[in-house]
Amino acid sequence: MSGLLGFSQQEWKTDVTGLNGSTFVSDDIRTLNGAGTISGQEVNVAYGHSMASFFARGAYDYKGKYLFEVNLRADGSSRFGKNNRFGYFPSASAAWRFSDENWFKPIKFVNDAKLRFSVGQTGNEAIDNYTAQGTFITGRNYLTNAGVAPYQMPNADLSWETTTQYNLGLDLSFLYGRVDFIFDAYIKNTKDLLYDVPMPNTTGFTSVINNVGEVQNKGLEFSVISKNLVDNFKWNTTFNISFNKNKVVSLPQEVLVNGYIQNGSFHILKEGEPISTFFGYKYKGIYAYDTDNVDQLRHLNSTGKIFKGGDVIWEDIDKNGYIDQNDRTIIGNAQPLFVGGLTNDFSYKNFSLNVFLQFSYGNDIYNNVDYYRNSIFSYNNVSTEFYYNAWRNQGDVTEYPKVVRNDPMQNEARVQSRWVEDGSYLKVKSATFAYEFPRNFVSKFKLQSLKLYVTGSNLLTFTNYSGYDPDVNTLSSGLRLGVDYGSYPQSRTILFGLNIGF
Amino acid sequence: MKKINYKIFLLGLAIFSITSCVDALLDKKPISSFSAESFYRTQDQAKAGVYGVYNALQSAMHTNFSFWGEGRADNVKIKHAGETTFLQNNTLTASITSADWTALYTLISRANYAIANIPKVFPENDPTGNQLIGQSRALRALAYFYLVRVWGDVPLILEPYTETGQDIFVSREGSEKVLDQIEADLIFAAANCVEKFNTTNDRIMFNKGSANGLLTQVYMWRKKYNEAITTANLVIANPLYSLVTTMSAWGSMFSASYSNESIFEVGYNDTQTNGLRVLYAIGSDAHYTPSNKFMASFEPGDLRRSYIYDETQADPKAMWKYLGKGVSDQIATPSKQNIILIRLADIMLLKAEALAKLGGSANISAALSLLVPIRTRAGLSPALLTEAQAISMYGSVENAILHERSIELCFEGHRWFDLVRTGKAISTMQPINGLSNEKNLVWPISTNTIDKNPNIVQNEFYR
Repeated sequence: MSGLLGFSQQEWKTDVTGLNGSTFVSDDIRTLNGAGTISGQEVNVAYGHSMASFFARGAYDYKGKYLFEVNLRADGSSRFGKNNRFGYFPSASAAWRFSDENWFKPIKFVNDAKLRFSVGQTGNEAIDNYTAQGTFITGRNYLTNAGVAPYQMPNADLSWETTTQYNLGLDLSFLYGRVDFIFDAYIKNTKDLLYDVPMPNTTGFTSVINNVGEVQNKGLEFSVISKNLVDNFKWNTTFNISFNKNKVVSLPQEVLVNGYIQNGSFHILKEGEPISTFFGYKYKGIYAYDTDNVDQLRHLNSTGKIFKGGDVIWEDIDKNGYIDQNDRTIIGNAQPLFVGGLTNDFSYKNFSLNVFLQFSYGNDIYNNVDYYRNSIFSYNNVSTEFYYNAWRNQGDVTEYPKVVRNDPMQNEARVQSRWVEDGSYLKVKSATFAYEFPRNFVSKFKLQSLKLYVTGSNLLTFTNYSGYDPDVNTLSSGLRLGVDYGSYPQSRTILFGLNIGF
Repeated sequence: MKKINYKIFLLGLAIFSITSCVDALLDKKPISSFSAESFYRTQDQAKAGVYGVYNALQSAMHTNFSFWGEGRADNVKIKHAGETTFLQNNTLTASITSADWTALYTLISRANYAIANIPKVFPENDPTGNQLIGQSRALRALAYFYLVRVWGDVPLILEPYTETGQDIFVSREGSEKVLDQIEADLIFAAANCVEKFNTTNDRIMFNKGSANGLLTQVYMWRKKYNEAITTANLVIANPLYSLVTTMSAWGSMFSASYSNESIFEVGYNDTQTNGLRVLYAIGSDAHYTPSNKFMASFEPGDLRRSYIYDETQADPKAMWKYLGKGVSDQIATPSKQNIILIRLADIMLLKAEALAKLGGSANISAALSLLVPIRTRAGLSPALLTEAQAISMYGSVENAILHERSIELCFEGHRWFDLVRTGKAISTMQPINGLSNEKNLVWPISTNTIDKNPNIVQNEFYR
């Protein structure tokens, strides 16, 4: 039995000073005194934040068979409103090594078995440092009179985002450690999400960070660690796979417009749907002839222009005869059904080979790079595929609409299913082949060890995704996943190496 | 036993001292900006807050003063697709730029902060504090005056938003009630603003004169002619203001700003620029040029014409008013001229209109005599001194005054509101763009506003 009481305090402070020099006399003097123009002094700011925590822990262990642990924490953050700075996060866990029970003894092929259960809460304070206090911003000047204006509304009640997690686990070890099996099932409920809630423009503010809504993650995780062959030729395998299901449970009704929150350009947040749901128009092809638009579908309203040959065929979701923003629907989701990895280690005498595979299945990617390459909304270059195949004449059967700069029919401009692709992939993430020189050979040169190896990373990718790399992670926000803005593809490297131990 | 008690006491003391210093530890004030609590603590901050309201006025008027005041009227000719076409062709939708009132409510929010907080840093009835509140209330009134004229009924918000839980989904308030508040704000401003700053600030910040000038415009919008005459008289008698006498001074009133005729203009400079250049003068590709109807409406010999556009061209490529006579703008000129919202000629013509509305031969001749200095300055010889002369030239005294406003105040953002105010919008614009419905005179409320506030109902014509 053991216990602990504690207090911790942490402080962070950042000072940023920027100075730019330009039009230098010559390249010889590179310090700022040689610059003709010095600017950027306005980038001279400081900010900081602090946390204080009280915590207590109690643990009980009965012969390694019954294990209990209880934690209590109270965390205070300077980032939150003064009414609600502290969050209280209890957690408890219990484990039962039932393989030590007498009734389990006859089962010989299982050597170690443990059942785990835990429940606990954790907090998130990932917002800007002074958000809750409200901000008045400088630089809102009137001619030479220095002016200041309210910029962020204070929110004295702002508090921690809290996640409650329930976890059930089972660890099994078979055949004297040859096969280990780990299984976990979890439910994570996150409530009071820190979200930038839009405000009506009559308030003078565009949004305010508030604690809203609830999100649930449910999942299963399996891993198997197996020593397949243990003699001269050794072969070990590690396999893991995890399934996660994500759902927005509730959102504050007063911020919903048409039943959802528009979350950036491509996503919405909607009750019952996962985070990172893509929302847009459904593309069904291109009208080959003007006459193909038999329903006389119109643009924007009942008196709008009729779509003609070369225009996109849109799905008229509300069947009202025209395409407006109410014809948007869910066109994809960036959350995978499952992800995982497989590692195989082989070794024979002094040779060894390690191969690591990684996979993701069922996630969609909004290929915004394709939108850039295959449309002319901006003065950028286009793909030859688009250039040669865009609709030109009545009867052209193609997947690219006619080319119209600032197209009033918005064939290009809409967020649409045409750019949503399956982002599933299997990657040979890395492979290493090595030869370890024998001891007696190495010792002749007064060396401890000598190893020659070649290793490669990102060797192969199996995917139907047409972009550079299906492993898209350019967008930083966790609420807006899966948009490919041209993420820099991961490099394939082949490395030859020699390890020498003296 | 005693020993344990002692330990518990020490532990208690430790916890107590930690908890009391935790609050201090977690009190982190912003270092490079003001928090809501740390601002509006000093008199200097109060002044900075008021300048912040003027800063919002710069943004609100930037381009929209012309979209709202000229875009739907008959003096401009358009050449670009988009906003200018929607306005001129009367095909307004809820997604056009000028249907968005955000900039005006940003101004109102800043003004509400100033009005609520300035009293906390000045002693009661302190004249400096009161004149700062007066300026803020005048600015708020100006914003609401635009809101009422452009959208009709609008949310009336007079308190700052300082905490969550306040009513953010405010419904629209009847325009008459909003106009009552505008009057109250301006009457306060006229009583509490300074007589004069004795600097160029007299042209770009609210003093008693400019508050009375704006009040005159508001009274005329409400058809309160007697009140309008009273406030107009205060402005006309104010020694700060006099008509500029020469035509070259008339030209530089717009291109150089800060003239003695100016009552209130929004200040801009080399770095805080506006949309005048894009609207009227950008190298042969301006949004607006003078309409043929406007060019044909000059009386012969009117000297103002050559300061407004290049009269040697049948189809002028730009407006010279504001950026200066003869400006070519082939190399970019910064759009830094002030935007004049109130000037003496405007107030004199409004007074003339009020007198004409009141009627009676004495009032009519007083009204027409107010036009004389303005017309004389413009080199106009045909006498317009009697009702008979006005009727023979323009059909009525009121029309003669309205025509004078159309020329004298052209492109300053008055024309559309003059047409609406005098009930001539439909008769004037129907031949041009088919405008036919009274309910069409207001703008639609922008989609982005309606989407974020379930209590805002779209104007009937645009539903």
